[in-house]
Amino acid sequence: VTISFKYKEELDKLDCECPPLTKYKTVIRDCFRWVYEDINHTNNFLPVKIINSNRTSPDCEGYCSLYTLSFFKTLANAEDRYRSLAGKYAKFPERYGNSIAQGRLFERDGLANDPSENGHFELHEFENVSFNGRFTIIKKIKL
Amino acid sequence: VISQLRKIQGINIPNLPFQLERVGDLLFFDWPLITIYISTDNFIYIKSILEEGDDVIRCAIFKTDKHLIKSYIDGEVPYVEVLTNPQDGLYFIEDVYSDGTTLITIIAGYALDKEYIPQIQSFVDKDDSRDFPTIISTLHLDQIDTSEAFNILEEAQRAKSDLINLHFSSANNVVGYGKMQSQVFGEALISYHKLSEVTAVSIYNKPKIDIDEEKLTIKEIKRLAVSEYSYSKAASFSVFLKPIKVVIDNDGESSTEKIQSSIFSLFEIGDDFNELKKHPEFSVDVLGAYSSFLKVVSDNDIKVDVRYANVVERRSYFNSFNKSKSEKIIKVLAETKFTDAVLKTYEGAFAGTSSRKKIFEFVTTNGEVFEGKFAASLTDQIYKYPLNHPYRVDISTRQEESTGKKSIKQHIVISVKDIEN
Repeated sequence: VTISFKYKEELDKLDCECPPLTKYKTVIRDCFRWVYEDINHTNNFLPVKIINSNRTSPDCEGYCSLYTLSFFKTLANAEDRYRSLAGKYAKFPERYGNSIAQGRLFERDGLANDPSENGHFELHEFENVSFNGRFTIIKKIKL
Repeated sequence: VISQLRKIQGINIPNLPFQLERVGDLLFFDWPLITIYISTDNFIYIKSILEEGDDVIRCAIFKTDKHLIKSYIDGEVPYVEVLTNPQDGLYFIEDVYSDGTTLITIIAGYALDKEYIPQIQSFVDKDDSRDFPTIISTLHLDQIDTSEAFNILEEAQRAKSDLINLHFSSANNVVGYGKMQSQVFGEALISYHKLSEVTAVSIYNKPKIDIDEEKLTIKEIKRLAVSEYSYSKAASFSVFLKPIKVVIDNDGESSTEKIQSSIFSLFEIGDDFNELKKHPEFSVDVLGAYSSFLKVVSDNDIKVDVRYANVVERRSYFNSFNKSKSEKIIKVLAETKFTDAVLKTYEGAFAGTSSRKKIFEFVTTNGEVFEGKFAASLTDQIYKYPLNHPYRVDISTRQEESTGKKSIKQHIVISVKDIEN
């Protein structure tokens, strides 16, 4: 079976290996993601580059990340990082939502890297993956 | 979905008035949200994302200072302190549209929309960026002496001028980060200016010292002490002043250096009454102005670090005053009433000297006898003056009226010239 990434066309244009296959693997993992209060918001499961094409990065590795979805290993990880970022970018909630949703990733969803120390990890989605209806909002964040 | 950005009012300009080279990201999440740049003239700028529309990204570009960056990276200040303290009080708001159009608007620091200022304090997170090592090495943050708020010589070189810096801080609400109560700021600046002015007069308003063989008028002398506001820094509250007129004397010494080094040598004396007595060059007016400056520090319970850098000689001076130190010095100045020193030249010979005690006895050709001390500038040369050898000496004499003590005359040898040579 040939698998392909959802944003293959864009990833293929990059000069670096994207995603780097030594770091990204298929996973089965419970996880948390920031979403808008409306779980059906169109931007809830879109990579930042797709939401706003102006977003850019100075190096290829960073540019590659623009096509990923961000997740956290625990609820506390997701909430802590949210507060940290909202204290540095006041409009952050407008662009990333104000709620945390919980769900599970499967091997068929894509390739993910290992969580960093603060629990953050990224997922390069495979083609035709959809998260609609698979995540449930469990917390609204109040700053 | 957001399609419109908030309206801002400012001055539109076609391009940024400086060129920037990227150093590294202070915050990367999905993409760079806060990035450090360095300009071709070596200033540090931050580009901080403020808002995103559907087809536009707005960021603030502002000048910052490496000490503040270090404090942020060291976890000492939250990011909001960095964002709200542009070094020159300006933001360049850059709107970049997806069609490639870029709009740049200059706004004053106070005019940054409150919606763009984070409402919670957030300190650095080590996962914010992988560029911290690059930022630290490129900006030499690891070489910053945290006991010094900045390097005054570097500042003077950048300003291409001698600089005087008054750096204020306080534990009360008189001084905050980048803020200072205006009346205290005004009092401090005026009192320091007055100290510079009377020092200039005491140095230059003497028949002996000519500039280009032409004596300066009092008005011209006072002009030598005038400085103009150059810029301020948000590091507690720091103000930089640069001289507007400088004259160079026959020894190649600038008037600013002369005035400021004299002030700093007065600062060096601290509350040492005996040391103060050895310096007749400080007139009653200078001591009075010094006392007034210290009173501003003491009354407002602030700390003032004073710096001066001579950009040509690459020399700098530093001293610091807080409430308790100022009060001690004020007390010493108040207890002792000096009259202004009278400087006269005499011919004669030393009848006795002591290198250890730094004292002398001089007998003039008219038989007049003076006993006193050598000026600090001569103390390492006393052994060179043989007794009973003809000399022409400048002796400064002043009346000292200590509280509750009998008035006495102080004699200090200021200069010694060998008549035979």
